[in-house]
Amino acid sequence: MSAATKGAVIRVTDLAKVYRTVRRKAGLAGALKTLFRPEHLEVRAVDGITFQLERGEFVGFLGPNGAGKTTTLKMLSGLLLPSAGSVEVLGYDPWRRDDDFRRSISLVMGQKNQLWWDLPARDSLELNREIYGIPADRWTRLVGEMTERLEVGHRMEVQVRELSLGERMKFELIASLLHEPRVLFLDEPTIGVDVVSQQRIREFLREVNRRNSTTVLLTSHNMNDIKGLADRVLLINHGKLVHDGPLASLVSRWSGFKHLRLTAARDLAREELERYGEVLALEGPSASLKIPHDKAAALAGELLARLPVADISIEDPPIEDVIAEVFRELGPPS
Amino acid sequence: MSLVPRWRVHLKVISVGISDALAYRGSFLLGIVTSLIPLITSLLLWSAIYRAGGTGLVIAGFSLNQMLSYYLVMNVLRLAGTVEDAQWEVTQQVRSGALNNILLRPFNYVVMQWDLRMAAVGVGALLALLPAAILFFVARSVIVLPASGWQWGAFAVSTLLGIQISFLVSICVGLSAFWFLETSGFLMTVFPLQMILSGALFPLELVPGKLFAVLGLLPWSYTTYFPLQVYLGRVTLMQAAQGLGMQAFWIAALAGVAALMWRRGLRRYEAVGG
Repeated sequence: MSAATKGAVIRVTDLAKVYRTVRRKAGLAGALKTLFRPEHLEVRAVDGITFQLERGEFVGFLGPNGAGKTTTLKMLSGLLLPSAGSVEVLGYDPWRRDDDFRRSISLVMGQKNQLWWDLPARDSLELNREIYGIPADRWTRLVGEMTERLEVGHRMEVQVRELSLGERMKFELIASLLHEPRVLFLDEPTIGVDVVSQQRIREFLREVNRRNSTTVLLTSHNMNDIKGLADRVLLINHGKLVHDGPLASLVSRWSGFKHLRLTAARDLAREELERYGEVLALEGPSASLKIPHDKAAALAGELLARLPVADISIEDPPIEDVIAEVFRELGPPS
Repeated sequence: MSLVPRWRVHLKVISVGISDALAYRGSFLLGIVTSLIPLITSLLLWSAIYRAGGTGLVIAGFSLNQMLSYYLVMNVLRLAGTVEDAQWEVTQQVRSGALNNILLRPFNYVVMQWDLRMAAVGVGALLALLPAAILFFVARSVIVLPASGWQWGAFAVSTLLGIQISFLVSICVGLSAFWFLETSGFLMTVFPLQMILSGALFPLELVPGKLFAVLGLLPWSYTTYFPLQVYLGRVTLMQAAQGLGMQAFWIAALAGVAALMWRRGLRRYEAVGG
């Protein structure tokens, strides 16, 4: 255990961030009141979380909007000063923003760009070459490789403003990976990107992670990103960590139900199925039911005995449904 | 890694800044045309005032030609573009969270702003060369030129130092966005005030004596007003040296304030967006 702890690339202990904002009151009287006697409101965006990431891990960071994901990423990358607890990334205190620390990490935010809007992407990539002190030959090789993988080599000389959202995101990734960071933070990297580009970006990220043992922490609302990439999932809600483990264990732990599909020798009626569980779909002889996890075997036996079943299967529900269920159960942020 | 010569970074930032500034050359040229309107208005107004007062009239120590030259030279200087843009950009980057991308990279934000502003001013100066030449040619009968070599030199140096003061003031004003996220109204109010204090709207001698003395101590008067005084030969060598000293003082003081605001501000920074 202690050996594993030593190898941790990211170490977060009891980390918290409290935002202090002024409570705004509605109406003119309220506005005046706020002006003269401001009432402060404390929002605990991150409320004491602890976790570690080993070198080369690809970890998904999930949670409803406002759960504290982005705030955590910002504290990990040195943009935000933690209110309490400690963060250590590659042995550095991110908040100090040492140049060596900044040369070793990257944060990519799907909705924020670092590319120069009015200039071709090449200019931004060249600027990063100088800022990070990347040798010219290595820069040429890396840009060549990455633009080829992401299929944007022919768009290097186009003004960034004229690129599609997907192309822009790909260049953002290239710009963020040129200095070959050892730790990569990704915040919604596929937001607004078309399906084909999403797939391309995922393959690319997987390759970066495997080839360079880059440690990656990824937030995404796109379950395909998480399913396709993350070995492990952190689930955060109301600023607290509620799950830390493989995606599969998230399903078995949080999902209290299974999906039962059956096909009968005759058309089925809704009424005869409803007593077993919630009817998710019904079309002629085929139906799909949502049944409690612990009663699955018993219910299947009963169905087989009472109905002319031709085919039956019990599956875990799709991960999207589980996550949606979990978020519903956890409720909206207060 | 850290042995990489930093000047290469500056050169690259400046060259990117130049390309970016050139992307806006259209709006720059339009800016020249619109800036001519207040200039012509001022020239006509002052000509009328002096004419009404009879030949040889002196207002606040200015002859007609000195007054007209004050406006002409000041406008040529402002044609080259203004570093005050920094205050809008810094504010916007703090508010929108665009600052994040710069904070993540191993480079100093204020230094980067400086590189970009100087690049923009350089491009602006180049683009302004032709319109300035035309302006000087048209006004050749009234324009006053510095009488001696030291005046030319002191004018050039004080202009460059004035740009630095202007830049640092703008950085400080922009960084106030760390404390007051809603700064657009503040900037709208402060900007015209800065214009008056710097002497960009009229020579500072026109304000009452006591106020004039106060203005002479503030940093703004050293951005535009002082270099123009040197240009028009309205200060002695001794006064010019003192003024340059004041400029150096303000640069040091404002750099200190900016550094302090930067450190304090970042602690409050909420890294908006994303």
